[in-house]
Amino acid sequence: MLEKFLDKYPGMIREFSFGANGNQVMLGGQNALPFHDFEGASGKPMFALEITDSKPADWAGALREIYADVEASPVAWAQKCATVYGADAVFLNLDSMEKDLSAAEIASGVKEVAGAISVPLIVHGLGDKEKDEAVLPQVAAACSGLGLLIGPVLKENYQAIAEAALEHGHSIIAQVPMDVNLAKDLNIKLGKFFPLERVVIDSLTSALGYGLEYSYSTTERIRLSAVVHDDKTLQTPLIARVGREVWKTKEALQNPQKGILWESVTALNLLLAGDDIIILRHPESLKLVRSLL
Amino acid sequence: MPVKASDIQKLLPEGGKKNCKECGLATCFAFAMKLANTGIALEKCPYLVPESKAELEEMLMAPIKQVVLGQGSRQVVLGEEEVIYRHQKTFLHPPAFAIQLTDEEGETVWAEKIAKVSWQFERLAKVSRIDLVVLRSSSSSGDKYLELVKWVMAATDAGLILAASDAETLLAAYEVSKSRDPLVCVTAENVEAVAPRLDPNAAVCARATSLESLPGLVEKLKDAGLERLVIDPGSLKLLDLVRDQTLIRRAALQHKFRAFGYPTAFFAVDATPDLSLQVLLAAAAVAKYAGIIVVEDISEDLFQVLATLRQDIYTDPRVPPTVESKVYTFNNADQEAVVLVTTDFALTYYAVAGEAENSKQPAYLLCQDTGGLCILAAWSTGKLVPETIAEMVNKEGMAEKVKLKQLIIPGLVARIKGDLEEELPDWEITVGPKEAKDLPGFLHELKKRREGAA
Repeated sequence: MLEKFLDKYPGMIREFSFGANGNQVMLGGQNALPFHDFEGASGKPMFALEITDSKPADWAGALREIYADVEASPVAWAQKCATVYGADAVFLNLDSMEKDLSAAEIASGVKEVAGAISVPLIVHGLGDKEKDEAVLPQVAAACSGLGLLIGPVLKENYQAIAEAALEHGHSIIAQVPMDVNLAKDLNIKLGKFFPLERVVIDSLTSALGYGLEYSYSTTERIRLSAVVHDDKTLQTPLIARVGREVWKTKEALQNPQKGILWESVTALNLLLAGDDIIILRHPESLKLVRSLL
Repeated sequence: MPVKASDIQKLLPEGGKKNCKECGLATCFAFAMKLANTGIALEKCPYLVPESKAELEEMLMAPIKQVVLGQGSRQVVLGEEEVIYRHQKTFLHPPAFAIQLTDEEGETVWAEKIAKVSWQFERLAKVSRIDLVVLRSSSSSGDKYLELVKWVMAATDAGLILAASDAETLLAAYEVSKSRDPLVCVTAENVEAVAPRLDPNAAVCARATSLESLPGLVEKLKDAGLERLVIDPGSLKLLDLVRDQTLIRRAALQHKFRAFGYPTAFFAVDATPDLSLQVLLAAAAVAKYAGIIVVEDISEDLFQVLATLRQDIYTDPRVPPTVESKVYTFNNADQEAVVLVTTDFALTYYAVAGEAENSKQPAYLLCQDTGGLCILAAWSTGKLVPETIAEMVNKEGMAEKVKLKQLIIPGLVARIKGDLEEELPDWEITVGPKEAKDLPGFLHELKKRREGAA
């Protein structure tokens, strides 16, 4: 008798994979809303732990304690995230771009990390349109064929970064400030020369208590447009940088245990809204959210 | 789905063409429009035939019924939700959080848990509490359960939920606590024995073991004349929770399926003994439509997480949260204080205010009226620009309040520095950090530099 309440959805999220041979992961393929297994394929979320390629001076003390043995070596740090904590992917922040390092040096650092782990690598610039435009294409070239997920690609600099990613076989993160229509616009622009099968959307994340409701609804609306309204331009996986936002809140900084809950609850709610790739900083949060799924 | 005025009109006298004006409106269609917006009582029409009236009442009934639990300052209103997604319209009544006490735990544990019911957690000028107490019979002794009920009645004025599987135990507890208008949990096993012996106005929670068996249980309660219902599909896993709560909300709103037209309950306590996981499930239930959420116990940290989430999800998506636009002072701001600028968007303000406080440096914070925009949005719409900042500095007489005349603008609007210097020639304009978290370090550096210069 409940069958009459079930919905069928016209839209499907594009199948998406990244990573080099042997360590590829698959995402996408959903033809139902998140966690709606009773109505179709609802997808399996993926969790990445975040690291940085230079000393994480501005990270919370509780996090630096956990990673104290590896924070000086991005390679060792990435390996610890993948093997000890079981992250599905590693998210590498190129904080070294703030320093006087050449693009070539930064790029060879990325290549070293990518080659040292058995999970895919996500590489992220500063969000500074000029600096990213100068460095990310070089990273793409140095890591040709390694199947990275590279971001952020903004409406101001998508051309150069996406072209380099296309040429060298990488995927990209299209980043927009919390708005369905901006996400659509950027994907339309990208779609003219870049396969949307290799794009994920980052509509920016805010932490619990600091605007989570905005991220929640933006994410939910993007996924509704894709699945319910069959909007082809938005049928890509969604990524949320949860850890970065949570670990600058006063709740997390004052009390790491509370920080883990804060990070877990933020992540869980964004998964419910439709995010597919969740970036965390604390391995305990990863464990906690996973144990529920 | 809202009722169409044209559908209502068809049921009015003479097919809605009588237009007698006795209801006070010009036409039957105008009356129908008002009815559709629940702005007028059906009784205003003196010529309705009983069959049409009954049909209209059914048509105009809220798709999810309102249920009020608890008394006085502890009253909780549930139900009446109108949408599935929060961007469509505000989720109306935030879920009630409940903590569970069992008769086997004993007085020490009871006292610890009841103390939590008086916690008050304040955020964004709103107070959150644990709203309800579940009294669970886990022993087989009716006397023990009654002892718990009486103890809790004396210890708190919060609303009560009675959960005992044995019908006689449950009914005895109901008689004892009737004055408190408890919510009585009824299951398929005890409904025949319990339902006929409850007052028709008793509040009842229909606790099924599956979504499929829930409508049957609801029908039995309605047949017994009970109407103040909360419904529980008995979800125990995250996937079941999402499925059950989603289908209930959808059936009630889009299919007008009356058996599901009630607020819901979710007993996280029955899903897992792990408290952190209970709270994560509870967090999912906040976003996914639950009306009452029951946990076994809770710590202050866990409660703060849930209360914050409830506030986030139940904010009005169309109105940005704001704080009052004025000059705020930190750390006994005096003549030596610096002056900071930010917007009245609550999330921006709280981030900056928290860090201004943490910095332990005396500071004034000019909170500009931007209608609740963040820094960049306020700048790009002309609400946080040199002219508006200068106007506020002058209007508030800041020049008389401080000796230093050092004005710190958000790093995100560094580009306005030059123009602001022209607007405020007597002031030293300094570009502050882009992120609030860097404010304490920035202010500290600034002070060191000042002292070095002096």
